[in-house]
Amino acid sequence: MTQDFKVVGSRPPLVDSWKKVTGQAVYGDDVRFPNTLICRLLRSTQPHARILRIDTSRAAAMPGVRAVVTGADAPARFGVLPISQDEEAMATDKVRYIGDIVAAVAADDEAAAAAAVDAIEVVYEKLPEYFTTAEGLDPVEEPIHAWTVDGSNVQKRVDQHFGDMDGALEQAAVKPRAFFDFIGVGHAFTEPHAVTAVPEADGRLSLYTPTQVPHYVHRALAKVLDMPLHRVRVFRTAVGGGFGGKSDPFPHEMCACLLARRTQQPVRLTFDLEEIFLTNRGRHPGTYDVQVAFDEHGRMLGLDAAAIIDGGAFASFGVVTTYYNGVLSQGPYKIPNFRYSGRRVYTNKAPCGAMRGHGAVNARYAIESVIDMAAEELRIDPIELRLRNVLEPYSKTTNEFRITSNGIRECLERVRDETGWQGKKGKLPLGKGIGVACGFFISGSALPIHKTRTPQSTVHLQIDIYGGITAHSQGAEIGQGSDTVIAIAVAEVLGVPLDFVRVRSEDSDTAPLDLGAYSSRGCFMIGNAAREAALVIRDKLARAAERLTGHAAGDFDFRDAEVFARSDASVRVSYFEALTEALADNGALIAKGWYQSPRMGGTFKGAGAGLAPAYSFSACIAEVDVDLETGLVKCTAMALAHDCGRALNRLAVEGQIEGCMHMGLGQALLEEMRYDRGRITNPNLLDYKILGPFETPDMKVIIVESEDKEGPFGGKEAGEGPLICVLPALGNALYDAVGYRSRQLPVRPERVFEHLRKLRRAEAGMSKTWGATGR
Amino acid sequence: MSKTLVTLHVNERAYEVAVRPQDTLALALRDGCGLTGTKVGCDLGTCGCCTVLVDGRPVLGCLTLALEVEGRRIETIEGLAGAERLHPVQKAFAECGGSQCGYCTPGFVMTSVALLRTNGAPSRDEIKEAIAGNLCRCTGYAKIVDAVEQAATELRQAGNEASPTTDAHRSGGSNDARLQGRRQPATARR
Amino acid sequence: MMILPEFDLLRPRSVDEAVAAARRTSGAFDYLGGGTDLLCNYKWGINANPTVISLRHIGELNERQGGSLGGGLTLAELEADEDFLHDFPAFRRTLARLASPLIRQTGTLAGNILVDTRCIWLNQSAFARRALGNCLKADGPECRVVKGSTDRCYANYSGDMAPVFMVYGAEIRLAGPDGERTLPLTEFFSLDGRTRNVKAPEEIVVALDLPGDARTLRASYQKFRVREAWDFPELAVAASARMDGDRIEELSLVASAVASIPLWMDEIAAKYVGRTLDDETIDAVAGDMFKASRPVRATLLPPGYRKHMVRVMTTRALREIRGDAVPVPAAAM
Repeated sequence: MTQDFKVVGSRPPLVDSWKKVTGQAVYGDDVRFPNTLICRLLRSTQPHARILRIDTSRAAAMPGVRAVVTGADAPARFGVLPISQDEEAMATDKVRYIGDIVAAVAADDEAAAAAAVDAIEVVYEKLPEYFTTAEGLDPVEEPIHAWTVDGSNVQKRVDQHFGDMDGALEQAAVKPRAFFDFIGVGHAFTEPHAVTAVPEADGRLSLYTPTQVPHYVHRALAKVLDMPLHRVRVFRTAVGGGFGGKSDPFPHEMCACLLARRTQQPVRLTFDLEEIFLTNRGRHPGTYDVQVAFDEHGRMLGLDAAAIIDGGAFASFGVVTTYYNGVLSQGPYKIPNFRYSGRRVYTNKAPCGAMRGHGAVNARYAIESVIDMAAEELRIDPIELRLRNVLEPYSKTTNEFRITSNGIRECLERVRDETGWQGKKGKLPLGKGIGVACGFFISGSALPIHKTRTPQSTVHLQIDIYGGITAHSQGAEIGQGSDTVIAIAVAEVLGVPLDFVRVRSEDSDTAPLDLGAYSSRGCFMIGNAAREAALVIRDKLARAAERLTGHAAGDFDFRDAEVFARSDASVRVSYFEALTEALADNGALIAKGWYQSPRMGGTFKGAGAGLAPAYSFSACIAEVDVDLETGLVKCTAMALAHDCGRALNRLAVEGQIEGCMHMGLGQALLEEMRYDRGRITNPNLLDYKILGPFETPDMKVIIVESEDKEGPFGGKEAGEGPLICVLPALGNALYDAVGYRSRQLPVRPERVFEHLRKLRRAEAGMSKTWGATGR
Repeated sequence: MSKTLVTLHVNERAYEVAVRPQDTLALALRDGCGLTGTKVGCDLGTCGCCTVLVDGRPVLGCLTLALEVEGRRIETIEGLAGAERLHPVQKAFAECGGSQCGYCTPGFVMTSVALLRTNGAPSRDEIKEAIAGNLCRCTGYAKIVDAVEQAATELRQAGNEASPTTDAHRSGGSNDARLQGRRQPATARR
Repeated sequence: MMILPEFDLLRPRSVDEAVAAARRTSGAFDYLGGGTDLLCNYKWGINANPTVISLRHIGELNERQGGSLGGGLTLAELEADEDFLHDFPAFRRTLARLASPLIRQTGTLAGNILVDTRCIWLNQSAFARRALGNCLKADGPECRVVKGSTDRCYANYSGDMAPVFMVYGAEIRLAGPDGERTLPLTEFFSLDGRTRNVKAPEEIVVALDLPGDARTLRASYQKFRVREAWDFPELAVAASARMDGDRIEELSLVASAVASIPLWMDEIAAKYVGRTLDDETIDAVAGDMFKASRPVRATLLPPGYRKHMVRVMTTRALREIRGDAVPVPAAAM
């Protein structure tokens, strides 16, 4: 493919944005069917209790109430991962956290449903409650689930060791170690979960839901409803923010479907915002104990890490998270010796799952912090130290990840050169600081969740006689721009304007399989599938052009809705002429393209975790201004360079990177899910503090294009990876500013304040005595 | 409480809607008028997704009772486009990448339209001040500010610096959609 | 979507009509101003009443004359009133950083003065309060912040306007069944998180009156919170002074959002009249304010830290009054 792109690399608006700016986009709660009932849920007020009795009789008899269901109506277990199916539509034997669904009501209107929910009587027997990981590591009186490790609350253990970690520590010139503690954060998207279940006249069941993973919802529905897969239909509505928080099949989706089937009426269920926080699946809280070993030249000898993550009440993606906390530390540096121990522990709190930068964010904060500590001890500039250790392109990590394109060196050099790092690092006055960090992430999980040889992405194309091209896919557009990636790939290959392509990605009845929007897989996998499909069509059009002109098909290029010979510009037919010829005596121009990751990776236990057909790389520099009287930290400027292989849509890539900066800074500075003995105390957007426009700094986006050989037009992910380096860059800048190494996130102003008070009392007083890095 | 039949004047159309005293404007627009472009997010006045204009001012639909705005002039996202094209603010939000998941977009667009009617050439800080009641989880706001700037420029170039004032609206002035491309006298207030 | 409880909505056209309507309900009513506070509480099922009396259609509450400001004026209207901001400049930043621009569009002056006290245990849904354990103010029987308290609520006063009006020496005008009465705003609040003030339930805040000589005061409002928009104060300090050169002729101090009412610190202020407003005085005042503030854990940040911040905010308020440049929130003019 020529590098002279027509659409790729431009800045088109997202193809679905027109619907969004006009209010025409249909989100979960915008779905309207006649004769619809309203569903509300009864949730547990107990963190851990056996259900002795549920009496729904009074609720069922109330005016306007059409049906009440409980766990007994659908006891089959489900979960996003086949290996940890521990969820139920509604609790059967016991409740495991405050918010666990116990019963569901369908009624004529919201008020009737709410009144009925209040009228359901549940008798609980309290069980021992576990709110910390520490109390669940050893056997406990009442494990939260029956299948935990040795009667403890440990759900998953991972132990990996490559090389000789103890030897590396012995040889090390410096080996800083630190212990970090992270509070959980949530996705806090603005669209509350909202679904409509519709019993179809032919006995099928449709679910309209703002999901990132229609395919996994489909499978779980079939299982829980005990219906054949082909009798279920999943329609993905517009998704008002996902970030990983809409990538599980959810109990409430099951509830709505059960009620629709029971009543034979459409059933709509819309959450109060609070229920988003109760449903959670946000980033795991946890601790990270990490030590890094360097020789005197600043070569990294090894990394030793132990993570204990707090899973909450259910498994969700947790097995993957447990691995990712370790294995995604394998980049962007060459780490010859590596030891990792990971534990995921159930607690009686809202379940944690996947959130933007899944499993890599907190671990990265810890690692990049100790690398900075090492730089200080070695008196080497932190950027220089990192540059000495980065992985080379087309290399392999110690745990046998196949590294392909890799722009980490350019990322670091460009953030350094475009922020004036040299003039600032170590030279700013007290209270002002600058910090750097790197990031590394998968560009699509190479391993599908379900072991199958079905391609991970398939795209169908059909061209009608008017020239319009319809692309069918189940790629989940959630605002990240996956529909636009399809349109760009097709328009690029066929040389037509973007508006010739329509993407239909909502309906499981028409969509070929795609695994959905998680693990940053969309661009790479859907993009490749769309490109492949378009190449098939292009070949057919080229052969039609050959029939019309007598010129060899292989010489045709496509541009501006024209098909022309590369070797002789006078030989050309219009796209429409070629299309008409291609349709003659044929009837339809259709094609499919698909993507499946190549085989890769080692053979050891857990070797599949973290494998990806490509990896993204990034580097971030943050500048902070600390209020020396209050301890409040403000990020004043941020530059982030991200290697996305090639930006298929520069506008969207910039938007993803800016969004990552915003969300990453939020977790670093303000966001936290606050609990009081299993009870979330800030389940609203006033108390769960997302950054506003004044807390968001000037953001400089640097797009690095390493042109991946297997990526679509060279592209890789840009939706999650950029977030990962944001938090440690902020943490390192804070240290540079006031000498405070925040071992907790979010950074709490009161802790910075306490540090500043100590500083004031210390001998050196309010002057910078740290961070001199030997420049 | 029983429902009352009220007339809501939305996007220059009169809707007869049956509402209960406790029904919010957001609910009445979505369920009563069928105008689901107005979104409900936090439902507690923080996120601004439900922002609509009442007599030209941006108002939180989730904390306004429908009965309270009976007879007032209401504008929603559905009423902006017209004259065979989008409102410049809508166009700019798409073109500048000010909309990703899009759920907050109708609210941001309405807030921005209100701003540009009273301040045709806002600085980036003034834009931030104006949008600080709308919450976006996707963009980090930078491209939203870009969009408002672009829309301001386009409106000025179209001769609309003289954004119609609130008072003009009260006295039945026409909305931006109908003003597109037409020259307006310079009567901006303040 | 959150559900509002059922209620009857009355829309009187005059203060007299509203007061009469209130009396007919035997106390089971709430007045509705902008609704940005009350309707949130109603959605959370906090102390909802069967009758809501809207004050939004009463013209006389929107009157404005010099330093006399109708209780029904929206915060946005005040924010756009350059004459008012010129005469009483401490309101400029106060308004610009009060809640959010959307809240200010409908939120009223009286609504902000009367804003209900807030608490991490209180401002929750009914479901959450059941799970968290009910609190004294909403469901009884015991305060969650100060365990064992069954007669006093410790929810936090969170209005931004009252402290500034207090240091400008404002009076509050109330209309009720027995006609109008006026009292200094400093005497309006009464320490309990539930009752909060001396206003009889049927009384309506007609206006806030700023005295003419308030225009010659130098005042400052220092609000501490973690975000520029949305957030209620974690604590705040308002101060005003009349200066004769660098000598303090009059001094007023309020520590706000550290208790269930804004605290009028007249005894501390009196100590420093006649003193020179130098660093030493500022440190001493700040130290006294620090000692006199005893926040409890009803908000996001820990009470000990908030207490320290009273010192910092007092210092900044006095420095601003002195004419120093003080850290100003980003882009807050």
